[in-house]
Amino acid sequence: MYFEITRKELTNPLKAVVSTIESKQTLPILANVLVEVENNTLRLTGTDAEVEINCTVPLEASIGSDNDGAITVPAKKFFDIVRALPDGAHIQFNQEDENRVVIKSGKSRFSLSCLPAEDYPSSPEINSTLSFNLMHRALKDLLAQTQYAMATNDVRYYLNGVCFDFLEDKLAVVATDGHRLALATEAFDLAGKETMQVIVPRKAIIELSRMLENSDDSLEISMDANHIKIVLSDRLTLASKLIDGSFPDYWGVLPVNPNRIVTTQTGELKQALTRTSILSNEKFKGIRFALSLNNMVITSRNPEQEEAEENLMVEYNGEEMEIGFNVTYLLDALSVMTTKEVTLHFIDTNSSLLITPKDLEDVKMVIMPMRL
Amino acid sequence: MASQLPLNITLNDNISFANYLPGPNQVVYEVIHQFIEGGGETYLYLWGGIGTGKSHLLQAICQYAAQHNQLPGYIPLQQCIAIATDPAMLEGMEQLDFVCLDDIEAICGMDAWEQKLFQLFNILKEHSVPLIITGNVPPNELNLTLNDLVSRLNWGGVFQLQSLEDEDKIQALQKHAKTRGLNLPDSITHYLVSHCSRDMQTLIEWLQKIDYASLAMKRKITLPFVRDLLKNAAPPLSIDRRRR
Amino acid sequence: MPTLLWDRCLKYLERELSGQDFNTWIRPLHALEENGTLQLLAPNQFVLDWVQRQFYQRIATIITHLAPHQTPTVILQVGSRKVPSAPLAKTTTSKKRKKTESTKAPITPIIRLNPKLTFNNFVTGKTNQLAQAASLEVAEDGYYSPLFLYGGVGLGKTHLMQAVGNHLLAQRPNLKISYIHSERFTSDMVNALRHKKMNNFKEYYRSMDALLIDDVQFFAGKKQSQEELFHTFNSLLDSKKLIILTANHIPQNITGLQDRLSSRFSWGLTVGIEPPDINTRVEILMAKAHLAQVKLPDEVGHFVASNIHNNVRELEGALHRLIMTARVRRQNITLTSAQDALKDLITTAIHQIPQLDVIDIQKIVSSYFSVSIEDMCSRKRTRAISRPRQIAITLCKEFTAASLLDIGKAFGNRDHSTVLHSYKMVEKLKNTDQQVKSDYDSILSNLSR
Repeated sequence: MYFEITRKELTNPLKAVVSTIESKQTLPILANVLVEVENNTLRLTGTDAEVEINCTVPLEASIGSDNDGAITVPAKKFFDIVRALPDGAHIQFNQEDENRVVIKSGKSRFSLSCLPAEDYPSSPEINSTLSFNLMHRALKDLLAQTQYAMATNDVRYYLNGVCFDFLEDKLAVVATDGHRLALATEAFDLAGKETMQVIVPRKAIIELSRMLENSDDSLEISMDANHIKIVLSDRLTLASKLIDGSFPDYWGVLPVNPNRIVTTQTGELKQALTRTSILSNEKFKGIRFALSLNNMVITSRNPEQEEAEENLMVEYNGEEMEIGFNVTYLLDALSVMTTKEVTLHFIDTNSSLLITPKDLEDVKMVIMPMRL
Repeated sequence: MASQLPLNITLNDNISFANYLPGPNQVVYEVIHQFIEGGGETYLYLWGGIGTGKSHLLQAICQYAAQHNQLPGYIPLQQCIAIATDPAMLEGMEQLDFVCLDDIEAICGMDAWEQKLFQLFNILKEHSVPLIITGNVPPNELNLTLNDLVSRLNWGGVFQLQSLEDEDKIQALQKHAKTRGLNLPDSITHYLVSHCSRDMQTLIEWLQKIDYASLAMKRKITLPFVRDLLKNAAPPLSIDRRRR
Repeated sequence: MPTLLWDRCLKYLERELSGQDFNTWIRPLHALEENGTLQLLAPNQFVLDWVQRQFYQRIATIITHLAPHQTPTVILQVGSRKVPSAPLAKTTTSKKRKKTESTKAPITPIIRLNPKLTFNNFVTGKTNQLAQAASLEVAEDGYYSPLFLYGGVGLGKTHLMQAVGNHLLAQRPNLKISYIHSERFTSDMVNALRHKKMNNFKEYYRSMDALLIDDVQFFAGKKQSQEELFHTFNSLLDSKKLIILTANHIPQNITGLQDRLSSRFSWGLTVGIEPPDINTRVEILMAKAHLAQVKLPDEVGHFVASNIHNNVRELEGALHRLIMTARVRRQNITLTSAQDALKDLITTAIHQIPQLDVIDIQKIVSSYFSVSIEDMCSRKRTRAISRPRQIAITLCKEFTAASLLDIGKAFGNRDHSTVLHSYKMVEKLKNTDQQVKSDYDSILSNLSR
C-alpha cells in the first residue's frame, strides 16, 4: 500500500479520528488507526470499540489501484509525526512489509510498526429503524444546551450520556446527573414513524459536539436499537454504540405548576453568582437566594466565616422565600442560556428550580436545591 | 452540614410481575397467570405468612390488568379498617373488571365487614368479576363468624404461598436493583441479607435508601458506603408498621 | 373511552404515590373526557370521598400542568362506565356541583338464574334425596308454595332452588322468575327507600311468577325488610305464584324472624338437606369432574371425599385446586399430586406459626429441653446445651424476620456465620437423626399454639 498527501490535508482528518482512541486500551490494536486506500481515496478510522469516527480524503496524486490496501498504524505516533512536520510538507506513506510502514517527508524518514487491517474492529452494521436529516447548527445547539448536565462514571450507566427522545412532533434532548437536568427540544416531524428513545454515551456526545459546525449544512442520523450513526458530511462519519437501558421519566422531574416566578437579566445574575461563588464553601459550593418583592439577595459564606452578598433587582411578586443551591450548577445552566432575560420558577425550599429563557418553551434547566 | 438533594430520577421499581421472584411458589405463580388470563374460575384464595409476597402479587395483578386496559381494584383490608369503621369501601366493586382483596384476616370477627364481604363475593360472582383474596391462613382457620362466607372462600382454588429462601431473597434483591439500573455486587446483597433484615420488604426499602443516597452524594455503591449508611440511617419501619 | 390526558396524569401519580395508595385509590377510577370536563368515576362514595380529600388537589394541579391552555374541570363522581350516569350516582365536585340526570332504570337489576345449576347435574345420595325429589315435584306441578329448603352451608340448597327455576323456564320461557339473595333484597330495599322508588321495588317483586329467595336467615332482626317481605309473600301467594326459600334452619328455629313470617314460611313444603355421606361425596366429585371434562381417578375421589366432609362447596374448592394445579403442571391428576396439592387441608400440618420474635423461641426451646436461656446463650459447648441452642437458632432463622446478625447477637453475641452453621447443621440432622427430627417437630407444634 502506498499514498502521497500534503501535511495540510492530512492533519485535521487524522486529528478527528485519533481523538476517539483512548490512551489505555484493552486490545493493542485499539491503539492504532486504520488506514485504507481505494479508488484514489484515503480513509482513516479510529475506534475504542464503542465510538468510531471515520474520515475520507480524496488523494490528488493519481497512484493507481495496485497501490490500494489497508493497514493499521499506532495512532498517537502517526499523528505526532504528521503534526511535527513543517507546514507545506509533502508526505509519502509506504507499507514496506507485513510489519512495517515507512513515512517519508523531505529529509525525514520514520519507520512504524503496524498490525493487519483484518484484525481491526469492523464498523457496526446498522439496520436503520429510524433515519432523518438535521441541520448542523440545530444539533450543535441542542447538545450545547444539555451536555453539561451529563453524569460522569455514575453507577447508573443510563446517566452517562444524553438521551434523544424522538417524539411525534419534536425531538427532545435530555441529560441529567441526578442533581440537575437539562432539556432542549426542537420541532421535528417523525412522519408517522414509531417514536424512539436512545441514550448516546458521553464520549460520543463530546466527540460529536466537537465535530459539529455552526452552519446550515445538513447531517444525517440513522439508528437501530443498539447503534447510532451520524454522517456529518460526505467525508466525516461518527458511529456509536447506544447505552442499553431506559432513561428515567424526565418529564416527571420538571416542576409541576411552579408558582414563584422570578424574571431577571441573564448576564447580571451570572456575574453576581460568579462573584458570590468566590466566598462559597469550596467543597459544597453552596449559595443562598432570598426572595422578596422585586428583590433577590444572593449570599455565600465559607468555613473561614468570610461572606459575600449581592443584591439584585428582579421581577418577583410571590411570597418571600429562601433556598440554597450549588452555585456551579446555576452557572453551568446560565452559561448556555442565549436570551437576555431568564425566568426562574420556584415551588418551595425543597423542590426543584426550573430555569427557562424568558418566554421560551424549548429549553428547560432543572436544578435541585441544597440544604444549607 | 450542607447536602445536595437529588432529583427524583431513579428508575421506577414499582411493583409488577417483572420484579417478582416466584422461588418456591412457581406452581402458584402459574396458577395465578392462568387465572388472570381468564376463562376459568373467577375466584382464587392465596394464603401465607408475612413476607410471602401476597401484597406484591396482588398489586402486580392490578398493574397487569391496568396495562391490559382493565379497571382493577386493590383493597388492603388491614388499612381499610384503620381508616373506616363501616365497610362502605366494599360497595360498587362489581363495576370494576378485577378485584383484589388483601389481608382478609383483618376483618375476622367484624360482623359488618364479614357480611359486606359476603355480599361482595356474591355480587362479583353474579357479575363474573374475577376476585382474588389473600389471608395469613387458609379459610377454615380464619375464625370468621359467618360460616356462609367461609364456605364461599373455600369454593375456588385455595393455594399456599411460601416465603423465599435466603438465596432467593438475594436473587430477588438483585432483580429489584436491576430494574433500578443498578448493579449490586454480590458482596452487598449478602451483606444486606445477613446484617440488616431477612424481610423482603425491608430489604427493598433499604435498596431504595441506598439508591437515593448514592445519587445524592454521587458515590459508587461499595460495601463501605453501604455499611456506613446502615450505621447512620434510621432503619425502615416496615415490619413494625405491618404488624400494627 | 380512556383519555390520553388521564393516562399521562396517571404516570405522574404512579411516580408520586406508594404502590398501595395508587392501586387502592387511583387505579379503580374510570376517566371520561368530554366538553371541557374530566370526569373520574369512583366505584363508591367512600373511594370518592377519600380521593377528594387526599388526591384531588394534586390531580387538578397535574392536569393544569399537562393542559395549561384548555384545562378541563376535574369532576369526581360515583358511577360506572358499564352503566354511565347510574340513577343512584351521587355527584360532588370541588368547584361546581353537577346535577345527575335521573334516568328511568329499574331499581333492581333482573337477576338471572345460573343456567348451569340444573337437576341433571345435581348429584343425589341418601342425605339429599328427599330435598331433590320435593324440588323436582315442585318444578313439575308447582303444587307446593312456598317450598322451604333448609340445611348447612354449601350443601346444594341454592343449586336445587335454581334448578327448579331453570326447569320452569325451560318449559315456559316467558315466565318471570327472579332469584335473589336475602342480603341483596334488603340492601335494594334500603336504596329504594332512600331514593323514593319504593313503588318500583314493590311492583317488581309482586309481578313475579316465581320468586326465589336465598338464605332467609339474613332477614333476622331487619324489621322493615321483614315487613316488606311479608306483603310480597302474601301478594304472591294470593295470586298462586311460586315462592322458594332457603335457610340454614327450619323456619321456627331462625331467630329474629317475626312469628307471622316463620309460620307462613312453613305453609308449603319444608325439606332439609343433610351433609352428604362419603359415597355421595365421591359421586359429587366425579360428576363435577366430568362436567369440567377432567379425568379424576377413583382413588383420588375417595381420597378427597374421605378427607373433606364439611360441605359440597369445599369439595368443589378442593377439586378446583386439583384441576388448576394439574393444568399448570400439564399433568393428569394422580393420588400423589392430589395429596401434595391438598396437604394443607388434609394433614394437621403446622402451617400457622404466629409472628414470633427471637425471645419467644428461646423461651419455648428452653422449657422444652429444660435448659436455661442463659446457658443457651453461653459459651458452653456440651451436647446437652449446644443442640438446643442450634435448634433454637434454626427456628429463629425460619420463623422470625430477624437478620442473622441479630439472631447471633441474641445468642450470646455469636456472629452470623455461626448462625448459618447451626442452621445448616440442624437441617442436615433433621434428615439423619431421628431424635433431632422429633424434637424439632414437637417444638414446632408448641410454637404453633
